[in-house]
Amino acid sequence: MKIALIGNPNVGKSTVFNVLTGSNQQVGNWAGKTVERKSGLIQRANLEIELIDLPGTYSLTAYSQEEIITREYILREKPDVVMAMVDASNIERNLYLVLQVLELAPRVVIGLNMMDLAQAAGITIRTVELARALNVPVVEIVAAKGKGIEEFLTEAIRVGQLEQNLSAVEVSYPEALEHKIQAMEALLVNTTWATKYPLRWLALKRLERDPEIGQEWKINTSQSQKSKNSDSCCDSGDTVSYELQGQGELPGEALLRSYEAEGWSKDHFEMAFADAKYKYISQILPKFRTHENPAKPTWTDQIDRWVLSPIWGYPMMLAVLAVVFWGSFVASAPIGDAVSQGMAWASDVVVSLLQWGHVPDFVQSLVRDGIFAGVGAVLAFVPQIAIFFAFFSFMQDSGYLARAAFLGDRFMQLMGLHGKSFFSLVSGFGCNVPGIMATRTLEDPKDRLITMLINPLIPCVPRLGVMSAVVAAFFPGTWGSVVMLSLLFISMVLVMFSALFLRRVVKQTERSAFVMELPLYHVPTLRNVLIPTWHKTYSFLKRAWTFILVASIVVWVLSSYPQGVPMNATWAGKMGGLLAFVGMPLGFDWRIMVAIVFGFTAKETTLSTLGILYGVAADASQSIAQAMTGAMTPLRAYTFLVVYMLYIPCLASVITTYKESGSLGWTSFGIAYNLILSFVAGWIVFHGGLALGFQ
Amino acid sequence: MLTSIMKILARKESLSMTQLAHEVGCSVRELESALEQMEHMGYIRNEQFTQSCSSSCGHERESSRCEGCGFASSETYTFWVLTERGETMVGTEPN
Repeated sequence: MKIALIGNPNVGKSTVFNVLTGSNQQVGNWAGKTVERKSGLIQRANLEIELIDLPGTYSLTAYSQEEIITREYILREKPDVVMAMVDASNIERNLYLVLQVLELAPRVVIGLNMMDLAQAAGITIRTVELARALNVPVVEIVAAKGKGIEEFLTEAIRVGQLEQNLSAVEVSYPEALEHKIQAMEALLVNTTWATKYPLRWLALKRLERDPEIGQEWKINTSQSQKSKNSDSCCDSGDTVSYELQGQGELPGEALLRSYEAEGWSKDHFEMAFADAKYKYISQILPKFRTHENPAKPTWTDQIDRWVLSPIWGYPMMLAVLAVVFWGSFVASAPIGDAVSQGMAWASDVVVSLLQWGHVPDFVQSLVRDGIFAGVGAVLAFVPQIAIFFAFFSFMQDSGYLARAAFLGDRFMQLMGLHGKSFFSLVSGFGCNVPGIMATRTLEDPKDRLITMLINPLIPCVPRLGVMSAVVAAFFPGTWGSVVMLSLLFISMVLVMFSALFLRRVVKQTERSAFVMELPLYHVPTLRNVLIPTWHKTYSFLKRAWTFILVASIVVWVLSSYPQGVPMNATWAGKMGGLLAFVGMPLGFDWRIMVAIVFGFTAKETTLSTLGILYGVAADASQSIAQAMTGAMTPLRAYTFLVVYMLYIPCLASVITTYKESGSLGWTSFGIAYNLILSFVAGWIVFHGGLALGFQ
Repeated sequence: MLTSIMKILARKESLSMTQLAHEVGCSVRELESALEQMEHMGYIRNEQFTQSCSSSCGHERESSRCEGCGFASSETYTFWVLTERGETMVGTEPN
């Protein structure tokens, strides 16, 4: 007796095979394939059984080697019985394969494995009803514990020795489809193949234009022709279909062409057959499966009903962001002040030591006015940034960040942005460089280009850090949170405007949708919040001590030489003077223009440059906030924030855009677009503010 | 069920798994099974969106943390999209 063991991958097939065959196993490869072939001999009473462990597969189409091997084995070797293993805890997925096996094999026994897991998940399978629904025997087993395996084999032997085939269920297809199947059956019924293979299955495969079946016909035709040419007297054998001799066309081809004329492609047939099987499964499932409280939504579902609601989702997202920014500003304020004072104290101590050691004046100035003023200005805002990172990690670990991204995508649909583009934009909030690189997941080059060009409009973490520092200086307490939200709102509006504008310039194709898998909500662990917070804060500090240190020294040199002249006559002052014509319409003095220019190298350097140029260390009792608020009005500060948020991205982002787009033209366009957009937005804010009476 | 999923995806409206299951009228588990089968048949594709960094950025795979600038998020988004074949199929309705 020949028995085939079949099932989905990881259904426990190998366990059953090993238990039944023991050491009587033969392992090799299937002929011409790289897939492992395992067979074994079993002796039961006077019966010798060959058990074949077929490769794990989800279906019997012709998409993978495993599927083809499994299908060919059942069709050609015609095992006396097929033992089909089914995972009780995921029965809907497994039954799809079973229904296909029932179309091929006349004698099938189902082994219902993992009943223990199903029960643990609150799933009850009524075996008797399942057997009745499919009209084949079903045996309960727990393969991992060796339970029911012998009974499974015994039942298979019994079915294999039956004189008549089982009359298992047949999937019913919609009427229109059924007519097409029957029409094809009528064309195939007189072929020799119909005597070898189940007619209905053959008709389904012909309608699907199954490549393996077609290939087989062609091979047979060729063999037949060769046989005729050699004047062989021999019978062409049962592998040659007589009706194909001398013909070049497969049976049913004309019928298929007529269906194609009606719009029925092979894909439509394939999908319709699969759809009917799934529909059939969902119809019979309630007969034998009960799921404990299946309709009861989980608490994740209940929360999502509000969080993902098109009406409540957005106000809730705003509220969450408001809490994040409020927490970052208010909670961090005392720590930030302490760091500022600490830096001022450290600056005094170090400079005193330098004076005591008679170190030249220019070195003292470099340490005090360059390093401490520049790096210190950035360090003073580390607590604020660390708290922001902690909130960000909390949102991520709780599962909310994915929801926020999902909501954002729905918002962007209005602008025709590609669904996946939005995820690149979300990445941009961390850093624009990976955000731009993430556009690689977009297939359409136009989608990629638009997303790349829009990404720098999203304020990255370093930009958010500088922005929050300036906001904290000019808009303390709760107002800071409101201002930050308004800035993000401006950023989003301009992203949407730019998407619309660039769609016209680049002529983007239609957007596509997606189905997103959202993680379950859970209470974040302290570890999952603190570790990413530390990593991000450490990176910020590392940059402060390396890149920002160098930038601070450069800015100090530019703002200190030639010596003995007022600051606006130094090299930095002259550079700022050259840019004054751009800054004047926005209400900026030369120092802000220089800081903005230096921000191109890395966004944090804007803060260190402002610290040096506003002479924080010259008056050690002054923090950067105090120095800036003494020199700027809130309106000018807000205008600066808008321009800073939107103007040219950092050098690394520009290089990445060039590398990813491969176009100097589009990279230049992106830079020009950001500069113009930031200038126009800044001008509107500044002059709008003046018109409203702000100074 | 499969055809309904394809048609919903072709509406150009992004949905969560729960929302799609609700619209199709099945459980999330049944939906997952159907999506996996459709992926196997080549009509849809499962994609994971993670932040990709350049080689110079020093992406550290083990910790899913970007070492370059340190600010990249380790968030991974998983979603299903129509393949070109799926789009073609759903775009041509038989008579």
